[in-house]
Amino acid sequence: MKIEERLRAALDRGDETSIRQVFEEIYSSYSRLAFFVARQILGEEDAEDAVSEAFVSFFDNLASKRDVRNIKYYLLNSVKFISYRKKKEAEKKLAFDDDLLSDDKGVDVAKNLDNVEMLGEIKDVLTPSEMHLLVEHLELGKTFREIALEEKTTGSSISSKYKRTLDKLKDHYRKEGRL
Amino acid sequence: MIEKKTEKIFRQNFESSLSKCPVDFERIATKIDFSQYKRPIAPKKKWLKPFVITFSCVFTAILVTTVLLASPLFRASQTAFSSNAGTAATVLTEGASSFASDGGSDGTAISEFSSGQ
Repeated sequence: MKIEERLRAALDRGDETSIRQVFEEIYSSYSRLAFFVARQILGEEDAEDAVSEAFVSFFDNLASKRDVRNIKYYLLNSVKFISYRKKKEAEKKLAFDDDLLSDDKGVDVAKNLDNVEMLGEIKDVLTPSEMHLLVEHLELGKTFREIALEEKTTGSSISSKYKRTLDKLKDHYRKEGRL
Repeated sequence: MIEKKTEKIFRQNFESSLSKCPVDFERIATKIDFSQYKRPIAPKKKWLKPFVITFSCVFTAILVTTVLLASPLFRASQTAFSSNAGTAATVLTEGASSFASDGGSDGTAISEFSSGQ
């Protein structure tokens, strides 16, 4: 049973213990990824707050809404939204007036990972933007069109870039004997 | 297939390299009021969806019919039909009267028909 279905079943039963269990499962499944997303936008402390706020608001909203089709997508978007809001607030305090999205380009994914060695030699094989594309599509579930809109380009160019990146990765894994 | 496998390996490696979030669940749980979930959810109104669909279909049909009836194209075709119907009625009346007169006098029409003319 998918986590969304388990959550719905627990909420339908109204049983506090099982609701708490499902909440904990949701948190352990997505908190690392949510923290990664927040860290791409904010510093460590603010990222912690953003993750915490996103999860609390998600769990609180379930009392009235109760039906979320894709928890991962909902949470990651929520974390991203909260992180940008926090960043904007911080920038206002410092009287900066930069475009918030300008920092999105060329995000170094590897910079915000704990065990970069787990990725093997990938970070030497792929460019930061290729890594970013893989993470956005595979992990954060974004479509090529959504990525293209953010990067102000076309979906087909993102799609061909993705294919090229995947080919590079395939060759790398072949050399490593993993494929 | 190989693409899927490549994506899978990447995802596994990436997920295991993610940093653990320093906030633990207990800290989150203290901010959540679990008592608000105690009330079981009311059963969904399953009848509502078909009702809305039927209503919207009927409404659309009425709307389309009204628009069609009010359209100038429909009015023009209706006028043309009325005048044609009048002509057809006249032809029928004339035909009927001539048949009656034929059949009434000597039955030419019937005998012509019988002989295959």
